[in-house]
Amino acid sequence: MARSIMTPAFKIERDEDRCIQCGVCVRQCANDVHHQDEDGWMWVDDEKCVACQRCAVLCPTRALSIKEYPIDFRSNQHWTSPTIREIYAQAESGGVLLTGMGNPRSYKNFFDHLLLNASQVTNPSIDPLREPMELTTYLGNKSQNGSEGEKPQLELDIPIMFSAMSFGSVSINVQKSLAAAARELGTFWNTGEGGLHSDLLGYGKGAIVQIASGRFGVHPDYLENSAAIEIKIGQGAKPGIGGHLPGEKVSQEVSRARMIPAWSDAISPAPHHDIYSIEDLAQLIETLKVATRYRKPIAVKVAAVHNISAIASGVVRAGADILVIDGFRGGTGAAPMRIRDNVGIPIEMALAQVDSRLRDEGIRSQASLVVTGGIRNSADVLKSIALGADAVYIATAALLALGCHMCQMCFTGKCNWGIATTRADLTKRLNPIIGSRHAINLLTAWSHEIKEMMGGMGINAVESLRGNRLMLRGIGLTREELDLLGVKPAGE
Amino acid sequence: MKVVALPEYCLGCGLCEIYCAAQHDGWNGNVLKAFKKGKPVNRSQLMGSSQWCWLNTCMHCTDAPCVNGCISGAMQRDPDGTVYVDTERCVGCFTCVMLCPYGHVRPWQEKHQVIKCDLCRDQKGIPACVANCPNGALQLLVEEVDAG
Amino acid sequence: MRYVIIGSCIAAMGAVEGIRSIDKKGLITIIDGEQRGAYTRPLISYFLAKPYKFKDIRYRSPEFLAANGVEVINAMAEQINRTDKQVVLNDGQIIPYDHLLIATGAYPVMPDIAGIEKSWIKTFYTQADAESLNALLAEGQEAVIIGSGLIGMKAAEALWQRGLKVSIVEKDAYMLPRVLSSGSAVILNSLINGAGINIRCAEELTAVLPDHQLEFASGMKLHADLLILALGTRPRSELAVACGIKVNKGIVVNNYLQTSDENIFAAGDVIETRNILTGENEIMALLPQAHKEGFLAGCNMAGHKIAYTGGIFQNSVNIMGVSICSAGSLSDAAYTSLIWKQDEKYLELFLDGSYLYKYTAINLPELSGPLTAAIERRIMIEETAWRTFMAAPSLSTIPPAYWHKIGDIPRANTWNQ
Repeated sequence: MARSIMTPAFKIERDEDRCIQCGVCVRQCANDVHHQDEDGWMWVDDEKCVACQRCAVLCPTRALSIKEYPIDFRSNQHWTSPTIREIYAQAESGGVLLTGMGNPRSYKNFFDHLLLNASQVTNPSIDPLREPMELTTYLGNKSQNGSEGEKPQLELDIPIMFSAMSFGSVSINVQKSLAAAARELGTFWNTGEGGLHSDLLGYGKGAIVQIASGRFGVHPDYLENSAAIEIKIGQGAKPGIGGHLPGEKVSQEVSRARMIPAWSDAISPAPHHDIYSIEDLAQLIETLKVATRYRKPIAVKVAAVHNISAIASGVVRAGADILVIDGFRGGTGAAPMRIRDNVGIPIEMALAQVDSRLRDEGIRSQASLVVTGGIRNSADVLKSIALGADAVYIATAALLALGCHMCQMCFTGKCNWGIATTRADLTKRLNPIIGSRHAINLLTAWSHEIKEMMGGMGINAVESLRGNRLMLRGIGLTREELDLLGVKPAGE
Repeated sequence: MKVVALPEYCLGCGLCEIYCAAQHDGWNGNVLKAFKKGKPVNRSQLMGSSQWCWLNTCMHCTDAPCVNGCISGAMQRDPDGTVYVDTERCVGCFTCVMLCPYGHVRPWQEKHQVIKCDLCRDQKGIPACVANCPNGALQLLVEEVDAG
Repeated sequence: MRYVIIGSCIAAMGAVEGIRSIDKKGLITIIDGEQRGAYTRPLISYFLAKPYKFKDIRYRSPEFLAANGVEVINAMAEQINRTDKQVVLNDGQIIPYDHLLIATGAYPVMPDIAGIEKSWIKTFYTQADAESLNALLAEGQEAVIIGSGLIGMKAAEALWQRGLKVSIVEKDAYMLPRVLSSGSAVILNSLINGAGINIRCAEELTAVLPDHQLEFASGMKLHADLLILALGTRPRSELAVACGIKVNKGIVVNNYLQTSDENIFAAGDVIETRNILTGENEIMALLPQAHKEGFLAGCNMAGHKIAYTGGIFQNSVNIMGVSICSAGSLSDAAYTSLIWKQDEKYLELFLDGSYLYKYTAINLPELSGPLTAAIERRIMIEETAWRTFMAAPSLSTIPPAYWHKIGDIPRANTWNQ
């Protein structure tokens, strides 16, 4: 193989005045970037570095720093540096560019163009330290339909859940962390399409179990040992395509959880081969309801795409109790870069449109609306709720709390933080006791913030904020965008 | 009191050894200075391979064979239950090394003495290895000490 | 309760600790015939090598005795009166006891050779021996040591460090016969010969001739300004014999370290102990053992019933910068011997099936702890695992089964369902 036409993406700088040749970096890098020779000299191979920062974080003397490789192409607004490098990469590999995590492009971020209201004089604000604030949320079909009685509901102490990440795409310790955190927080975690690992059987009742196009790990006990069932039609990071867990990640444990042969590729087809229409979906939903004797809410997860409101209407009419919409910022363990970066629509738009559509059609009460895909903080959560969501799912934010450093190399399986890997030696780098504590801390902090912001608005129950778009104002948005979001511009 | 190692979460990164070494012999936890100016020696040693590893810490046994078998009375237990070596008295016979089933007490060849975990008893706060473990693989276990 | 302890060394100190772990009040009296307090015999060679540094070779300080409320009588015990439960001392005092501990230790063995009673011929066992040697020796003198046991080797090292020309004479075929095997002896021999101590094996002293001449069975003659007799020790059991307690090689005790008189206990070098590897009673004059026996005897004297199941031979010693660790013993069985050698390091294991019976480690002290425990706790480890270990012996390559079976490593706060 000839020498690459690319410079490395990153440059590792070692401060020799600080380096004590302890070798922690060598022992911690699964990408073999660092190397210590027989004389104790330290060497780096910049080309292998993915900027996960594991070495820099663990270095006891802070001798390491990682920078983008300090070389610039001739300035060009069209042929930018990433664009050129992607072409080099494809020229050398001949393959589809793979990537991980969510869409990083600079598309307009509508959350950042929405502002929240606060009470002044005419209605009093509420001090959450003195007054009770209600964050409890119920997810499920709330319509009263004659003799059928009350429909099954999920009770959430906070309107935030952990989104689907399968065992295989993430390590078992990620699931352990989130499962334990969800139990502690009074919310739910999601198995993803990877079955339920035997270590987590005790956490099944706190899990939303997923059924996707590969139907991995689905069996009666899996459905029974759950809080709710989620049919995954699409994913925000890669709408319209399936999943592919390479054989080398299908370890014995993954194989057991997914009920597939070890070391064979786990392929989730692009569509469910038994769902080609809303009627087909309705059939699967009904099947699952019957199988679980109408005791569990059934969720359907779709990606936010162009005609999302019509799709949402169909899904709700098909009998879904919870509709999950995943926006184009949603994360992934592996997706073709072109799809992640160019397919789908922003969750804010999709949410506003779907909420309005369901209200217009008078079926909003038949299903709860959960949004996900790029929720970064408590303000994003509140804005989502004000736009019409019942609750949100978070995944990327949760992984960051667990130690993810956003290197976007999840698909290599060599995650140095023990997150996106099934290798035992890397998995143990995430201690689920610490992981769950971090996840609990994060959501505890967010719920404090949510209560404070709600109190400021004079609202003492998250119920009262749902779909309350008067609490939002747009800034820097066009008239059309404001109309689509259903919010007034700041100042009006 | 003792430091307990949890192999299932041990990364084998070796930070425990580094901070242990820098915490002793007057380096006061200054890793950079300790390793640049001297050759600090860690008390506890990392064991095993990257797949299965743990810090070989001292159990500070209640009925400690090393204390009982020490020929010079250098190996002692302080009122808190911490087993430590009085370097003034250690003659380097290595009887304690031979008596430690955990292989924790080990020879300090340069000084011709033995070396072992003293739970950083000369320092304030929790032991350096526990404080600097990035993954909670080391925990300080506080038990009641037998008053006798 | 009145406790009396005859002897004031390791077992006696162990007994004080044992008694006080249970009985905080009872009166403890120590009869210290040597009148030196609680000192450590192995340290006399360190004293001889560096008298300025090792002036204080105490095992436990007077403060330790004071803190435990121990009365010390500097006199010899002359007689034990079992009917009246009294100890008669050489100064006429009579000490009553409820429970008595005989911890009188041992004597150095003296050969039956004419002319052995000379001022330049010494044993090397007590602090007094070391002090008189220290007064006697001068740099450049020729010293001969008879016996290459641990005492002889440490004496040789000390004299060599003081600038004497030292020869060791051993009647067996190789040095340290109780500790080494013929293979490991060769290694040690060359290391120690190379350092400057002359070792002659298979030679037996037969006569001491005039003019500091020594004659050996083979006809070899050596000149010696100093002669040290290090032929081992035998239990100092006269008191026990005289009062009619059962004495075999040493004082016979049961599992609770009681002698044939239930009120009299015995511990330390004066008793015979069960070797857990052979099941036979032997004299095991070992310091850690003495402490353990003393401690348990103390507990049992104070009313507990803690059994002592026996011990194994174990020694760790450094001679001329060479570390020698060995534990266990062999019977007549056919053992598998595994040997690893590298430069100045040597390790030999003796296995019978899945059990380790003995090891000898030269310059590998760091491995001695787990190996000793594997023998002492009868830990079953497959021979194949030992073979793997012996390919590259280190703490990290100790068979994983060992760590699983040593077992009592506590676990805390792991993630659970």
